[in-house]
Amino acid sequence: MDNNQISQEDAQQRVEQINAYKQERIALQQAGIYSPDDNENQLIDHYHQQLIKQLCERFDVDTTANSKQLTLGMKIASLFGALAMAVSIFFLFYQFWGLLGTTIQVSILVLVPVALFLLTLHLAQDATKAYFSKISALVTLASFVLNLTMLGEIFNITPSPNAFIVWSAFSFLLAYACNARLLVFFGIVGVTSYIATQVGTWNGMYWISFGERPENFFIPAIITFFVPHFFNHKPFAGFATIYRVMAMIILFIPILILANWGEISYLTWNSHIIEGSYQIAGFILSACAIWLGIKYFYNDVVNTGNVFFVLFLFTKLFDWWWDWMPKYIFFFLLGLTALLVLVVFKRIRTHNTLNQALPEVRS
Amino acid sequence: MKKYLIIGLCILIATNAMVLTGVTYNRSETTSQLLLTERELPLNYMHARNNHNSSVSVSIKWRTPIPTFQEYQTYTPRNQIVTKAEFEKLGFNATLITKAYGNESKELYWALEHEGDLHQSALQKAQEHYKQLTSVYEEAPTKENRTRQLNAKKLVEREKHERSRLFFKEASASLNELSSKYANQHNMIIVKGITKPQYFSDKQEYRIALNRLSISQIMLPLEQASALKNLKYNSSNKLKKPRYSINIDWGLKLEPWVNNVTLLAQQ
Repeated sequence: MDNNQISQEDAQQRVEQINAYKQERIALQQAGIYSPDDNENQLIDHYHQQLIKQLCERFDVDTTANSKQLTLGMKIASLFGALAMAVSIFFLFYQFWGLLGTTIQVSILVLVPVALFLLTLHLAQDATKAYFSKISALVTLASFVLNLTMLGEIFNITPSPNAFIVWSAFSFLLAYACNARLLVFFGIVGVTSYIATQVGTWNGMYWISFGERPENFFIPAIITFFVPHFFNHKPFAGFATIYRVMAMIILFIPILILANWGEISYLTWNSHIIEGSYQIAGFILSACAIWLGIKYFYNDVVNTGNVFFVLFLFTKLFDWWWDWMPKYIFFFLLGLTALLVLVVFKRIRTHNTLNQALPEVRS
Repeated sequence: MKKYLIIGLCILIATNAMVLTGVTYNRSETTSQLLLTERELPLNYMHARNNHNSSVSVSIKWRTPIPTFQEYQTYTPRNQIVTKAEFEKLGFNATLITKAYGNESKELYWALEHEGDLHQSALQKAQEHYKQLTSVYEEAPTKENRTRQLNAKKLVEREKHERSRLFFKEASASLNELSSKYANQHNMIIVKGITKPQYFSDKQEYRIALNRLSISQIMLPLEQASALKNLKYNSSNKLKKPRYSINIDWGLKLEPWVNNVTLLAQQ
């Protein structure tokens, strides 16, 4: 494996592959099936040691189960730390800005994001400081949001949707610079909001009301879903998943809302027909998502499709039965339905496992 | 990493440059100017209660005129009846708007009148209302009638000294049209407001609901805010005369800024 072309995820997988090999070798030796030559073992072990050392130095990978658990803890801590610091920036400025003149306020608002941005890029150059660079990136984004929001308040500027696209662009830039999935999330939220406001404006509404028409979110959902298809995200672990899952959430939540509240649709049909149409669309699209995810091995798409399929199903059952059915029978039937869904998915999983197994196992 | 640095700095610098250029452009020319008092620009409620925000801002308080055929009332609904032609001239499609609620809003230009005929009309109606209730009391001097008469008198005082003198005059989709129409009236301002179309099928009536101003709060810079920082929030029911006046300019983008703040002598 050429170390210059691998990502952090590839490095981690390589380490786990090595550990798995060692454990399997021990198991085979204990079973008496495999008796390797000592020299051969030493050569392989030495090679693995050197490789792991290189990967640790370059990518900060976990080499043991304990370090993996610690890494998870560090990720959670860095997430909360980043969010808390970002929020503190807002409160810090609100607390003191009234005591500062306009020139100083504007200078602070403009210079702080620039300074934090430079710090973030400096930290991002060292893979061992990845957690700190991600925290710094989120705080940088928060300071940029504060920058434009506060300038708007200081100078009494008419609100504009263009802020969304600028924040989104900056968020994506930081995400790719620091390999930070949380910033991809904020970038998608920003660009989705911007596209939805434009779709709303084209349909004659004031941009701030873009949330009143859920159909405004369909176009950004489709665009977001296909981003990883058109741009290679291999060096960025988890980014493709974020794009696909967010796209599905942005698509299915509006459909779920319209399936229950047809009056807020752009369509001028009878609201019951609109609700029925969107219910059918919800079932078909979530089933398609499950099929697509199985076909292309996108586990995230399968899982998200499952969640929304079940949501649509339970919402429909609630519509049919809640008012007239005794509650204990209603929940019992819900449970039975869940079991049925479980059986169906289990059969699909077994079918897939057989398809992917060796020919002799299949026969 | 170099490309991220360049792109990032471009985004940060260009965005701030555009915003500040917009501010400079707006303030390059004054389109209207008013001297308003606490009646039209009460201190923002959050300023009084929120210890976490050290800034001072005021809200723009405006009213809709009382219809000619109606008696005086303290609350007037924030919608205006318009003809179908006026409705369509504002940019709303009368064919598509078939219900009263749930329609999409639009940002239109609003003309607001300060201390003009509309305020005089409101004051006159308040005085007529008081005279009417005084006659009723004189004819039947019951406790109830006396209470009504005294309340009406309070309303007259409130209309004279406390209530906002800023009234909605008309809305238009064209800034030029409103500017030309009110070019020579110095007590008029043109601002942007969010307007929602309504159609009441039972009365076959078109209306526009005046939701809110696009900019409904004005931040005071430190130099002007210091004069108001020590003013306490007054929640009592007693008559509240204005404690300050603020000179406000509106610029080319119809965005306001504060020129100066003066504390008024309390009588």
